[in-house]
Order: sequence, then structure tokens, then C-alpha cells
Amino acid sequence: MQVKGLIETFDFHDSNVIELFHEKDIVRIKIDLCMWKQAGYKEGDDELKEISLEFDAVENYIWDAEKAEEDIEYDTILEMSYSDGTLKIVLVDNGVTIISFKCNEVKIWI
Amino acid sequence: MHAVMRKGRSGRYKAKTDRTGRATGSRDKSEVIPRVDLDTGVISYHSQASQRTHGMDGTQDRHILIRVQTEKATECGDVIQRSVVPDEKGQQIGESGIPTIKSQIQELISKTPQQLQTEGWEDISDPRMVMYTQSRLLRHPITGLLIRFDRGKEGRLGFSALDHYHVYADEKGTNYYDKEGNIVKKGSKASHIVIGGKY
Repeated sequence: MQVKGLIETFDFHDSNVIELFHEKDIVRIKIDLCMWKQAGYKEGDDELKEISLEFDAVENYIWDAEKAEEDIEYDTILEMSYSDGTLKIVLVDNGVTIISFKCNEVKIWI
Repeated sequence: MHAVMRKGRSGRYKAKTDRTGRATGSRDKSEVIPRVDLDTGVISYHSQASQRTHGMDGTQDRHILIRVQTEKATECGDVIQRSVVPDEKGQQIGESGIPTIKSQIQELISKTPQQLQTEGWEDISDPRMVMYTQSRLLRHPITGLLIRFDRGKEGRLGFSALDHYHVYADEKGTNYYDKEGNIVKKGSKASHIVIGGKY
């Protein structure tokens, strides 16, 4: 699906990143998604669900943090926005991590 | 006899007294000033907040000192509570001598981040959090309790659209507290403390 559609369809605020993998032009992110914030959620369903996102043809990948990607440990997503073809993700745990990259398409496994 | 404790070069607090052993020194709004009774060894904390609740109205002299979970307090060492009296605001006081988590959270529900900062909470947000988000990390100057304020966004579902706090159950925010003071998982509905207490 289009990344723009992803951002419009899902509310990622307060969901948590389990792991992030970046190699060449591919970025994979495993997220514990807050299902209770999503459209269609019914009271009594699981509040959290693990999903995976895969972005390909990624350009201009920037990881801005004091720690490395592999040190992600259930970091909380504060913001996830898409503008001018660039996805920006702001994470928080002990510190703040900013990830940004250009992309158009995303595959999602729910 | 009391002595004011000051941070020494080592980073640990040390007593600061004049020649007669009387307390000297000044304090600022956010600083917690431990005082040690050199005769008994009992230490008490003094700050704006603690003076109000610790008997400065003359009702009772409270020497509550405790294993407070703050960096400053820890540097002062652990102190045994001598006496506890009910808080004039009706807050529940835990065995440690500070309001229970539940009581502290109930206080938060009715207050905006601006009001909390007026009361002495410190904004310790990472500059990039300030630059890229509307979230703010605040720390209570005495208890060290950490909370994160997240602004609600129009268009989101339910109380995700409302301003809320997350109360950190540890320094890193591995888990949060719910409004009853129970430890709950990050991302859970219960971890959202909605300002105004609607939920």
C-alpha cells in the first residue's frame, strides 16, 4: 500500500517498536500496535498486536540517536508522519530517536 | 542542632554549618534541602512542598526520611522514618512517608503540564522531543516521579484524541502506572491518564 495510506489508516502514536532492521534500500519494522486506537476495534479484543512493516526502495535513510538500531527495546512511537515522500518516526525510551527515509510503498503483515 | 546538607565536589551531599554548628546556606525553589540533626542523626528534607506538609504550620514536627526514589535523595542516603502524620490535603501517605503513587496520580488528573510546572515540576524533555513533538517529559522535584505529557490529536479515536499523561513506573519508562497506581504495559489503554479524568 502507499505510505500515505498507511499513515492515514493507522494511528501509531504510543505503539512500541520491537525491532528495526535496515539493509541497503530495505527497512523492516516490527511494531506492537495499539489495536484499541484503530478503527474497527471492539471492546474485549486484544489491545496490542504485533505487526510488521516492510519498506523497499528506501532512500536517504537517516538514523539520529545515541544508540544503534539493534538497541531498540520496545521504544514508544511518539510521532509517525509522512511529508514530501519522507517518512519520519520519532521514538522515545531513555532518549529520543529520529528515523527518516524517503519511500513510497509499504507491505504490512497484521 | 541542624545542618544544611550541600553537594560537595564528590557529588555527594555534605553538611554545611557555621562555626557553632548551626545550619547555613540558602535554597532555591526546586532544591530539596536535607537537614541532619547532629544529635540524633535523624535527617529531614525541607523544600517548599515538604514544609507545607511536614508540619511547618506548627501542628507537628515530621521527620520523614525515607528511601526516596530520586537521584538527589539517594545521594543523601536512606533514612528511617520517625513519624508520619496525615497530610492536611488528605493525601494517602505510604509507608515510605511520601504520598502513594495512586494519590500522586489522582493529583495529576486535574492538572495541565503548565500547572504542574508552576508547582515545581521540572521539564526535562529532550530538545528533539520539543522540536518534533508536542510531548513533554516532566519530573517531580522531590519524589522524582516521571511523567510524559502527550497532546491529543484531533481526528484520533476515543481518548487518543485527548491530552493525557503516562506515569513512568521506572526511570526508563519500561512500564507505566494506571490511574489506580498499578503497573501496566506500555501501549495499554489503562496506561493513559487522561487529563480531566474523563476516562
